Amino acid sequence: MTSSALTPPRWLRGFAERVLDPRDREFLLADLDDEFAARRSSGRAATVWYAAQVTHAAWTRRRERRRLVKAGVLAPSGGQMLNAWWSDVLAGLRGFRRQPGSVAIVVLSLGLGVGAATAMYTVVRGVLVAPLPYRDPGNLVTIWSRWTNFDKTWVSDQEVLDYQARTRAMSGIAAWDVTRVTLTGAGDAVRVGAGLTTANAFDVFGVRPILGRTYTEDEARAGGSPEQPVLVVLSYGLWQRQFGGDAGAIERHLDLNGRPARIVGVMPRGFQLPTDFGDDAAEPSELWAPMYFDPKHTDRGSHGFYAAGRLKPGASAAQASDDLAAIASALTAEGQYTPQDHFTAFAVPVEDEIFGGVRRPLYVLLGAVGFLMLIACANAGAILLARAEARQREFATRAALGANRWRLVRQQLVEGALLAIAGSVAGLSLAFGAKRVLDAIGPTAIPRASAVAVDWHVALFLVGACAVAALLCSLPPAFRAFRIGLVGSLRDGGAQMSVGGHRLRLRSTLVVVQLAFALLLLTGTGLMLRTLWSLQKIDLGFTPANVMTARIALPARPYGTPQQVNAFFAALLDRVRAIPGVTSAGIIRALPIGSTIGDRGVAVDGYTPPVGRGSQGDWQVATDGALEALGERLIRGRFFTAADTLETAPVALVNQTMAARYWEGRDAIGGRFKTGGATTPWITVVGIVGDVRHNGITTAIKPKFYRPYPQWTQNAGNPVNTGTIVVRTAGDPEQVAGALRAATRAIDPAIPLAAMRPMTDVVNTSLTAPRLTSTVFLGFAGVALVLSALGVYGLLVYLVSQRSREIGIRVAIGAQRGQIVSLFFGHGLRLAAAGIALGVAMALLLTRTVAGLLYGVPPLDPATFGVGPLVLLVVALVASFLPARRAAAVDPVVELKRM
Amino acid sequence: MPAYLGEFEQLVLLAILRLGPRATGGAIRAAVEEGGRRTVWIGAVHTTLDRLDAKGLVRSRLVPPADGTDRRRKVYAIEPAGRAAIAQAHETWVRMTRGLKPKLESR
Repeated sequence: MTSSALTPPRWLRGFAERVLDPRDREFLLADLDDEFAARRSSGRAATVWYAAQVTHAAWTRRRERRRLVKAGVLAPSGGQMLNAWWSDVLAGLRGFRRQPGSVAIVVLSLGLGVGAATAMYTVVRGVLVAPLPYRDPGNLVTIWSRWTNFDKTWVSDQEVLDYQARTRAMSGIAAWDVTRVTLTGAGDAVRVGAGLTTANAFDVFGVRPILGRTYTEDEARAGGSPEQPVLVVLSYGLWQRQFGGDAGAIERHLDLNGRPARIVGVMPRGFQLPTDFGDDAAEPSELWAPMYFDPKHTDRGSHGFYAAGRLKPGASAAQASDDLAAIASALTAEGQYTPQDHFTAFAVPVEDEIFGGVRRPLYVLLGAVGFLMLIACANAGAILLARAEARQREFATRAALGANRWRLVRQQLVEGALLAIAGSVAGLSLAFGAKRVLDAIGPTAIPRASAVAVDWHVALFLVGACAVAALLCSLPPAFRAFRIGLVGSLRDGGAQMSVGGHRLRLRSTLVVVQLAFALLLLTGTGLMLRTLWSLQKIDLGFTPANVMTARIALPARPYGTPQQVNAFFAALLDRVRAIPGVTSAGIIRALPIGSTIGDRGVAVDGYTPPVGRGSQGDWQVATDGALEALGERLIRGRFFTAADTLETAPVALVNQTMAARYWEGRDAIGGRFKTGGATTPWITVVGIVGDVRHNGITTAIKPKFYRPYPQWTQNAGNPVNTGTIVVRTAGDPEQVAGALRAATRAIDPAIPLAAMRPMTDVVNTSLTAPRLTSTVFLGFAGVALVLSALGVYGLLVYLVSQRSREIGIRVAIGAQRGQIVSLFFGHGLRLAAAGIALGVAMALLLTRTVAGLLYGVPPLDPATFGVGPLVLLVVALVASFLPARRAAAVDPVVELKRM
Repeated sequence: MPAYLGEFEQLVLLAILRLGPRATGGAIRAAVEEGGRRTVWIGAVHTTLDRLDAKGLVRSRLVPPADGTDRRRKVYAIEPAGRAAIAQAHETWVRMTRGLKPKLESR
């Protein structure tokens, strides 16, 4: 056996020799080494045991020694036995105890800076940096079509087949559709989001199930026949919720929208379709079933599918776009599309697709938090600098007595590190708290915000941030320590009459920089608040207050015919309208802001579209009472009534934009249009309604027509069996939630209501991102103002104390109090002016980076650029006021006596 | 009157008696751990030994390093006063437990 096996690891022995008191070291280690050798067979346990014994011994022996020294039993140790670093730490801690106030300020500002930075980094990492739940997501793209008037729209089934057959840049292309299904056979009926995917989707995403399998191409093809059970793959969450994570769930039989279904697999936790991160974040797909494109039945007209492709090795998204565009122009050349359609297709990297909207706001916030951290460091640095100056004579004397300079600098660094550690402990608790704030603001508007967690990456960032903070705030004082000359210092620190300029320059610079950064954050806050304000001022075209909404979907069985669907909806609305407090109720196919709406081609009687452009309108379907409940405005004519049925003449409402575009110079009311083929009946316009923002608060308004639910089959053949119930209430809409569920259950207990929420929530969700940026900016700016006020205050207090004798003399020889006050006020003013000048210059350069986040306000908004400096000026003057008053209160008699 | 001993001091002294010339700190620690059925820290053992030394109950000497090691060991031996103290503690223990055996073992 070698001797190395008999002794503890080298690092551990080194540690032991360092921490143990030299008086014990030799025999204590001899004792422990003996036992280690005896225990070595237990491997790691022996090492752990050794380390614990050493640590405990070091601690108790030291404590015992101190006790004995105090009791007078033991003589104090003569030589400097402590590790030099350790003694710096102790000296630092002793120093802090003497000045708890300034230490508290340093710890607090570092805590705020580090905490805010860590919280922001946590969000950015959770949302942007952590990988998507796909293999090699950088090589995954989503595929979109582009047409005249459609910048980015879905693909058709035949196009997916064409792309699959002809692509050269992609190794696989999958398509999917999202829907909502009612699941029975596993406890209560539940309504969940579902994805219908081509069989190759899981291969294209590169994700294997954790249990069971997915479905094959053959199974997808066979699944079309109604007697075959639908094969379904569950999400991890649904598997846990409905089956308690039981592996026996595989092969279980279920009922999906009235069709038999069989579970074949479970996907790993976190797997989602790319669309589930965006539009469907509130109700992501939780089960997946096969979809098959039969070449015999596909067409090019219905663009309603999502598609994604896996890039071939070495191919880029741009190459995939070129590839798709080439295929699209080939299809046009083959006569599949008319040249006027300007049909083309393109690929978007899936990461851009999912994070495109939030990437910039988050990076801007990360940048903002960087400035906040610099302010915090400047603040801490200024205070440490003041401490170092107060100790200049001590340093100078020590240097003169032979202490080397590195030793003095090191002490400064150790103090900085101690403060940074304390600050980071404060900051970490803040970072954990920030996660809750984010949850409160609304995590669904930011992709994956719900997955944000404070983990080891974040801890690593925190440690890094602390190290930077420690260096930034302790280096200036450390360099000062370098520069000290004994003679100069003793003279300077002695009976001084006024403060030398060089000493102040650094601190003044720090304060000016602080003020400038604070102004930068103020400017950002101003721009964000103005954006939020502009967004909230937008006329939505409806009144969200006092409206409750809930999604409903009728399964194809037993609601297959238009009569069955209409009867259900009519009966439901009768019951809902009877609920006390309900003033109006209806069902609408696509809820404004809460869903997206697409358009259909329309043929308007008497209107010829310009060459190369069709005429189309967003298609909305509503029951009587729905528009009244939403508070949409009737401009002229009438809303739908219960008398508009399948048997009566086809009627429609159009929005103002549609009326103006297709009936320019004519009266839209009484006008006619068709949707669908020439054989479909003419639809008569009976009313014009005000424009409504639908796909987003800021998106453009397009022509839109409304058809009554009972009449939809007249031109589409099949009824619309899904929609959102909208209920206007006299009081708090939440109060009708229970009654709404009860009314639905009373008609058919198998029909669940989903996503029940007040309309105000629906609207607010779309304001989450601007609200988040403004809230965070506001918080940052507030903290920045407080910190820079502290900086100004601290500097002036210092100045006043340094110049109190000068003030005394001035007063004694006849200076007025007002002159003394204005002397210091003037100093504060000069600092503020310099900070504002620097800050405005930086803001002018940097606001361009936030331009994309703004709405209704220019990046160089004069109001923001006017108010920000004003606020800063006021804060700086308030911070100067107390020190100036103190200066005025200097008693010349006292000061002159002290000379 | 012999010195009063705390429980841990008693255990340490008993270990020294038991170990004889092999009573190093480590050996004492292991003996107390084994006999007392509890984790014993080497630092605590040495603190107690220092205390006993200060009270004149034990003495220590440094022995040269054994073969293959480079550290001297501190070996402890019991002083007459220590022997008297532990004997007194034992007597007290025996006196106080007399007749209680059934009650103490009934658990």
